[in-house]
Amino acid sequence: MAAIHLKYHGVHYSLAPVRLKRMGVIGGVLLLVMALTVLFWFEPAESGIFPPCIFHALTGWHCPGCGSARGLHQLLHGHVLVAFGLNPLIVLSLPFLSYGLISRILFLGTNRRLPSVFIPARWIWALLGVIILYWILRNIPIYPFSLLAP
Amino acid sequence: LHAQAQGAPVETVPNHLVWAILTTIFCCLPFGIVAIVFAAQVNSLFQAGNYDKAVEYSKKARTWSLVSCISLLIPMSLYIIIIIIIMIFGFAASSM
Repeated sequence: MAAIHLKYHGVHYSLAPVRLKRMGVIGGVLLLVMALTVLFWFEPAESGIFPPCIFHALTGWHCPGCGSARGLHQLLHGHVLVAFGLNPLIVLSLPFLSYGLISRILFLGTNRRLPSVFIPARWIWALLGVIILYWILRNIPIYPFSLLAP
Repeated sequence: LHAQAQGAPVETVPNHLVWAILTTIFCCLPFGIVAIVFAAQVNSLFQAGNYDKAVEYSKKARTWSLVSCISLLIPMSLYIIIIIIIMIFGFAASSM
């Protein structure tokens, strides 16, 4: 990333890449905190301020992420089981996703790394299979599968 | 991955799997799936010792996560702008 040069009222300013990167990290973390705060205060199903899922709006089917806003709202209030009922996949993958995000933020902010985990390719293919299967099964309106719907 | 000697073992090639999963689950569109496919290939190529190809697929995984992310962000920001406009008009109408 190259430095950015600005001219303002005849004075030249330059933003070094390191500074830009740090600003990006701080901005990203602030956005994340803001999003979680909004998600904590407003119930997605009732408030109507959250955008609908595009896939659900277009097709009427559930996508693998449907129910995640409601689920995260419940999770932020400590209702793990309710969140699990709305979207089990999100709740199960959250520890891995949070670890990845936190280690990324730490690395960008402080240049220190959390120990990185090498996931064998086979597991990633299995995960892909699980997501696609989950996508299909939660749209089948018959008893055991209907549990997967939000 | 700076200045690797040809064919020398590299420590790690980022597969951007976290972004691939995040955009697949939250973006409701199939681009994230493409990113997961590339992320899996990064790790299988890495395991096979094909580092150059792994780096190439790593970049592809990142690109597709980004495409997936943008495909969500554009309609979402439009939605938020419309909501704000409606709120402003609603407030103006109710105070008249």
